Amino acid sequence: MRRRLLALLAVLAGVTLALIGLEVSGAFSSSAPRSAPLLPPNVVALGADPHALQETPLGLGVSVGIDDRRDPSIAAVLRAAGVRVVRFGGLGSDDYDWETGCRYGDTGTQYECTGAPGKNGALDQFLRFAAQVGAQPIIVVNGEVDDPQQAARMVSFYERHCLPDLGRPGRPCMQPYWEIGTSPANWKHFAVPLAARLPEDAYTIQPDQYAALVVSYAAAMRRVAPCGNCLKIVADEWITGATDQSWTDAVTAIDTHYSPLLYSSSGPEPVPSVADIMTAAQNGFGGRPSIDTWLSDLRESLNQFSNGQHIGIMVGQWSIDANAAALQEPPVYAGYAQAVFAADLFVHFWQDAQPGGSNPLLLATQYPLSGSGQEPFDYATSLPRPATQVYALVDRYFGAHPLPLSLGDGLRRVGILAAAAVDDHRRASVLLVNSDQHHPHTLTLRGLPAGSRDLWWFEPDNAGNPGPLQHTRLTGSSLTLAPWAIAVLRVDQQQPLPAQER
Amino acid sequence: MATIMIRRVCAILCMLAALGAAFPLTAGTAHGRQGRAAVVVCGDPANQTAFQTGDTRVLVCPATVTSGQLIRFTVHTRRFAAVSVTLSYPDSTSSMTTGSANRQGVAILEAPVQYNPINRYVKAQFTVASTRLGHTDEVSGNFTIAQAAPLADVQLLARPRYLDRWCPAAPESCRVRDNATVLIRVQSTAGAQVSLSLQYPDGVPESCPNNNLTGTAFANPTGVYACELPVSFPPKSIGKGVQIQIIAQVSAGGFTVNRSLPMTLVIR
Repeated sequence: MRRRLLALLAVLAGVTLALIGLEVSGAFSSSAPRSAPLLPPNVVALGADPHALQETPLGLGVSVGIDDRRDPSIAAVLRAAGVRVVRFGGLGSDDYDWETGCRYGDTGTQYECTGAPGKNGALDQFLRFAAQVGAQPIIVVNGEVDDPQQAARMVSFYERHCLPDLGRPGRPCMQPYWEIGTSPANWKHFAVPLAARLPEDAYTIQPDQYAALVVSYAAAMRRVAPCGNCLKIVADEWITGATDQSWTDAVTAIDTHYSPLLYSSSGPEPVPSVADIMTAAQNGFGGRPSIDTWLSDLRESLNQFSNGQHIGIMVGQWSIDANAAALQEPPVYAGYAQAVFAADLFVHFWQDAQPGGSNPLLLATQYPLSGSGQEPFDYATSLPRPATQVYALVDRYFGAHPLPLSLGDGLRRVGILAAAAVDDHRRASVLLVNSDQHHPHTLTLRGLPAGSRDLWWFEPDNAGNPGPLQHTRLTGSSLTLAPWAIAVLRVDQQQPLPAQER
Repeated sequence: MATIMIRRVCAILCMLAALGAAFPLTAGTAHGRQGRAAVVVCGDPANQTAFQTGDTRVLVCPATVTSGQLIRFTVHTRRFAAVSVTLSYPDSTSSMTTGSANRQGVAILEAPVQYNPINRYVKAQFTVASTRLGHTDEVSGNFTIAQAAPLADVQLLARPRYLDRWCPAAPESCRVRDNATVLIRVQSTAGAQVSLSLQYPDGVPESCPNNNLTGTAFANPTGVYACELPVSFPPKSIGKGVQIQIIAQVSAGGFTVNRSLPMTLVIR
C-alpha cells in the first residue's frame, strides 16, 4: 500500500514537472495573456505561431492609376522583384467609363478619351501589364455612376480576356479582387451619368447609401461571374460608417488608404525633412495618425458589426504623402528616405497583420506607380526609384506569413525596426531596418531554428542611392546593421512548430 | 581696261558669294513658333524622342510637357519643305503650327500645349506633315501632357515693418507688436485677382485699402500684390498674446486658392 502511494506521488510529481515545462516553453499559447519577459536591450526574439501557414499570405504590390505609365520595362522590374498584386484604378476610377475608355471631369463636356477596351485602351494595357508582372489583379469599378450592370459587364469582359493562373493545372482565370469605387467620401456626382455631370451636382453619399450600392454591385457582378459567390468584393472603408450591417456578407475585404504626410508646396509649412519621413509612419505627423493607430481604428469600426470579424483589410493606396496627385513633390521623397519609409511601413504591416485574428491584413499596394517624386517609378524616364529595391528584397526573401516578434528596448530607442515571418516552405525570416541614418547598430537574434542563415541587404551608396543587393552567410546570432541598412535574414531550415503541434 | 575692271568686280562678287555660302550670317534654321516660354530642357538628348517616316525624321522634346508650356519639334526633312505640326488632344480638339525647312532641310517648330488634363497626366498625339513639290511625309506619335496646377505656388508672406525677414520662413517675424504696421505680400501670377484681409481674435476683419468685399486688387506684372495694415487691438484683450489670421484668396484663369497665415499679436 505504501509503495503504491509512493508510486502515485511520483507520477503526480512527474506530471506536474511536465506541465511546468510545457508552460515555460510557451506551449499553452491560448492561456491568459502574461506580461512579456523582459528582453535584453539589443535582442530581437522570434515567437512561433502554429497557424501562420494556414492564414492568407500578406501580399505587397503596386496600384496603377489610369494615367500611370505601364511600360514593359516597369513590369520587368516588378516581376523580378516578385511583386504579387497590382491594382487597377486610383483616384480616377470613378471618373472613368471603362466601356468607352473616356474619363470625365466635373462637367460632362470635359472629357478625355484614350482608347476603348479591345482597342489598346487603359484596361487592355493594364491586363497586359499585370500579365507581364505575373501578379494577381485588383480591379476598381466605377461606383460613383451607380450602375451595377456596367460593373457586371466588366466582370464578363475580364472573364473573356482574363489573366491565366499559370501556377494551377488547366491555367484557369486568375480571380481578381473587385473593388466598388474608390474614396466615395469624395464623390461629387453620385448617380449622375458621366456625360451629364455638372459642377453643381455636389452631393455627398452617406455610408448607408454606399453600403446599399456595394450590395447591389456585388449581386450583379456575382450573377455573371462563373465562380458566383466566390467573387472577391472589396469596399471602401467609408462603408464602416453605415448603421445597417447587411453588407458584411457581401464584402471580402475593406480598402483603406494611408499616407502620414500632407505637404503642399504653396502652404506655409516647410518641406518635410528626412527625419519627418522617418518617424511619420511610426508616430504619425502633423495630427495625422500612425499606421498602427490607423489600422486599429479601422478594426474597431469593423468590430461594431456582428458579422464583421471575417472581413479582411487591404491598404489599397499607401504613399509617403497624401498629396499623391501633386506634380511637384519635394525631391527628398524620391531619395533613399523613400526606401526606409517603405521598409518601415512593411515592418508595421507585418506586425499589424493580425494573422488568425479578426480582420487580418491581406495586402498593401503603393499608389501611384509613377510620378515626379514619391512614386516607385519616375514618370518621365520609367526608371525605378529606391522603393523598388525594397520590393526586390522583401518579396523575394521575406516570408508572407507573419510571426510574432519582440524587440529589445535598446534597439527600439535607436530606431531598429523588425518583423518576422515564415514562407510557404516554413522557413523563418526576419525583416530588419536601421532607420538611424548615421550610426550602425548591432543586434542579437533569438528564437531562430538552427541551420544556415542567409542575409540579404542593401544600404545607401556614396551618392545616396540604394546600393546593390548584397548577400552573406551568418554563422552566429549577432549582426550589425549599417546606417540606413535594410535587410532580410532567412534560416534555411523549417521553423519548428510549437510543442502542441508536433 | 573696262573689261579688266568688270572682270575684277565679278571676281570680287564671286568671292563674296562663296564666302557668304561658306559662312552664313545666321545658322539658317527656320523657326515656326507660338507662345512665349522657352523649351530649356531640349539640350539634353535624354529629353528627346525620335520618330521617322520616309525621309522625314522628327525629334520631340520634352517627352512629357506641362500644360501651357512649349513642346519642340525638330524636323529633318527636304530643304525648303513646308512643315506643319498638329497637336491632337484627348478631348478631340487640336491646334496647328506651321513653318518651313531651311536649306539644310531642318525646321524647328515650337507649339504651346493648349490642353490641361483632368488628372495628373494624359497622352496626346502629334502629326508632323512635311510637303515639298507635291510630296508629303507624315510622322505621327504620342507625347504626354502633365497637368498644370495654376496658382499652386501662391505664397502668402507677412512681417512687422520693424523686422526685415518674412513670416513664416522666419518664425520671429510671425510675432507682431500691437499698434505696429504689418506688411503683407502675396506672390502669385501676373494679373491674378487678390482678396486679402486680416482677422482679429474677435472675428472682426480688416481689409487692405481698395480690397474688401466690394472691391479686389490685382497682382502686378511680376505676380506680386502688396499691402500694409496697421494692427491695433485692446491691450487688455491681448494678455500674453493672441492669434490673428491673414487670409488671402487668389483667383486666376478660373482657378481659386485660399491661403491663411497665423501670426501672434503681443503687447510688446
